[in-house]
Amino acid sequence: MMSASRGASPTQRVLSILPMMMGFGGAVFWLIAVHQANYAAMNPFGLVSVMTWTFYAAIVMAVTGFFLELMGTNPRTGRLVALIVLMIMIMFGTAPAVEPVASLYDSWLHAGFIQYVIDHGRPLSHFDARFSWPGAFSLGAVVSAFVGRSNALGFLRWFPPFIELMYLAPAIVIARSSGVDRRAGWLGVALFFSCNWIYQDYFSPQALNYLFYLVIVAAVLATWRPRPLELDGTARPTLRHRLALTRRSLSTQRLGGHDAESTWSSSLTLAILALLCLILLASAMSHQLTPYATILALVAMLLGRRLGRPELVIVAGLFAVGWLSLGASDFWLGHLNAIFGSIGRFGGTITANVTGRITGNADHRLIVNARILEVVVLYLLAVIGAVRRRAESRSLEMLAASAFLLLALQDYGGEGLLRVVLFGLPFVTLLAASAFLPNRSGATRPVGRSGTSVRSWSVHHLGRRVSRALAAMVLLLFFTVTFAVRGGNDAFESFTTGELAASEFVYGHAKVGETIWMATPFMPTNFRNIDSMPVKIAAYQTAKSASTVDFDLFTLLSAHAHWIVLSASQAAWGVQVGGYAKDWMAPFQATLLASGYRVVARWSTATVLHLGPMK
Amino acid sequence: MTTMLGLSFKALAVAPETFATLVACVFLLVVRAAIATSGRTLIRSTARLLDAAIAFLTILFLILVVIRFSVLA
Repeated sequence: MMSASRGASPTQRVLSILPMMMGFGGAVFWLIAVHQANYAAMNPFGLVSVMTWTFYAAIVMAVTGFFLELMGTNPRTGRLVALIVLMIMIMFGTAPAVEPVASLYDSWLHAGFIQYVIDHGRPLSHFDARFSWPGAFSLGAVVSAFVGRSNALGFLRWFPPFIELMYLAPAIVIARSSGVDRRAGWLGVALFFSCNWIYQDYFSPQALNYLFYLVIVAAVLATWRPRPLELDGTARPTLRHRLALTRRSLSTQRLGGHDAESTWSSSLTLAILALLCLILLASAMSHQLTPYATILALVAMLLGRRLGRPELVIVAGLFAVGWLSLGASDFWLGHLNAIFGSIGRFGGTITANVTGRITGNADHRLIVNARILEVVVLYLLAVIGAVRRRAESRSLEMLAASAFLLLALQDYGGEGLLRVVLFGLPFVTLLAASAFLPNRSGATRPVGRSGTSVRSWSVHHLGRRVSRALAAMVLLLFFTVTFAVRGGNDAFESFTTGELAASEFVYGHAKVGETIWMATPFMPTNFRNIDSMPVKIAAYQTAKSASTVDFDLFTLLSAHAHWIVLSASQAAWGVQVGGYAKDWMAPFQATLLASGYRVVARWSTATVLHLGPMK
Repeated sequence: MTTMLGLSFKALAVAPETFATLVACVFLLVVRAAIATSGRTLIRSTARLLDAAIAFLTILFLILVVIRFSVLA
């Protein structure tokens, strides 16, 4: 390598270091962009509205640098990792760098759950469904205590880029072990981080469990490889032959794991199995949905000749059902219908998950529609990739499809489809990358006319250079659109220091037993005293879409709330999602003041009201 | 860890038969996977006995879970 470098011409040397120079330039532009961003100027389009041109220059430089390295004669792993890390920081680190405090109400609530575990040494019963799966909260309490903190608030703000960086290692292993072309694998990893607008990486059990999910899939794909299929090597398989191969995926031989073989020694395979069992146990105790997504992924890998031990599927199922039955009985006692009510209602669940989310004003609907369009385009590319690529096994397609079965089990409060996209994302992005860079070896051949190989189709009809240029443009487009739609809710999901100070003020002055309310969701609150001073939300007392300003007022007044906190984020949610009138907060506050409430503290973005004078 | 152990003991206390069946089933599955992975071959009757025990315990566990759901819910 050294001698080759010494022998290279000055032009070649410049070309060789150009990707890293682009990456360095991208990093500098990104730092300037986050420094220049004016959070106070945010409009209903969210984070994207406060970014200057330097931010987009950073995106173009990072993506271009990545592509130059990827399409060079000898793509270097270290450089590709460094450029993807930069892309992760741009995509997921911009919000924490620009916004004054951690975003999303739920991340603050989870810190409150952890605070309770730290204070009491156990989860709180009959308070929230999430406490029936307390594994992640217990881990949060342990880590908080380990680093000498009395709460988990310090972890909230930078958690999204941290956990996304943690996803990188299993994502690379999945790409390397899934049987796609090497360059397609790296492109798939870049697409994985460039298409993740789903925002399930905030401080939450699902973010941790998604890491478990990726690690389990990566470990299985790296440990077992498919045994060669008995195919006629010369002839293109007929339709009958393909159907016979498909039927074989349900044979006893396949279900027994005999069609896969371990790539490691028996002792190492055994150690991996033991570790996977531990991770499955931790996952079963930590999240409601991820264990079932993991089971579906394991089944997909078993049927796709990538899992050699079927016991792992049964163990995963036993842990998940066992915890639901024994550990989570607080959750299902009295409302079992919430778990089993939507089983088999596939069509109804999809309708509820799509149409139920296209709500709010025109600005918000534009963001939601852009998200849906991005997913549709990504899946279309994945279909093209599945058709074009050759492979030893169709496990990647099975993994991508298996996530959809979750919808047949649970609508997950209208978020089921989001989770399907999330759990399928690592595989769908690899398939989408194969649309541009299809693998050219493997027993399972692409669908197409007899005698037409992928190579000839690629070279003569599309052209390798055009294909690669298209891939670069698609990555750039996905990255930019994802950034825009991911931060599209930040006008109400991100918070100001004034809103945090209002919450702190209430916690500092409220007495045990007093009630604290908000008009609509979205405030940094519920991060302490969740048992003695839980903060309630008027708009959540009915179905979210059915809430009105009058209903919220009626709820607050009839509850005789001791404390009411009103804020800019709540006002923005009402306008953008709740369908409330513009400037609804001013008459709302006036009505409360006329009903006996007094303003006891005020910031530019938050107001604290108290029923009667403070004592 | 303390929380997890506490919850496990709670589960053992509220439904000992379900918990015991679960633990026994997982143990046999781990044994089966360990034997298969290590390359050792069992005689056919022993292998069948092991598989039958796993199948029986799995079905028993599922029945106990369904009973628990139907009685308590």
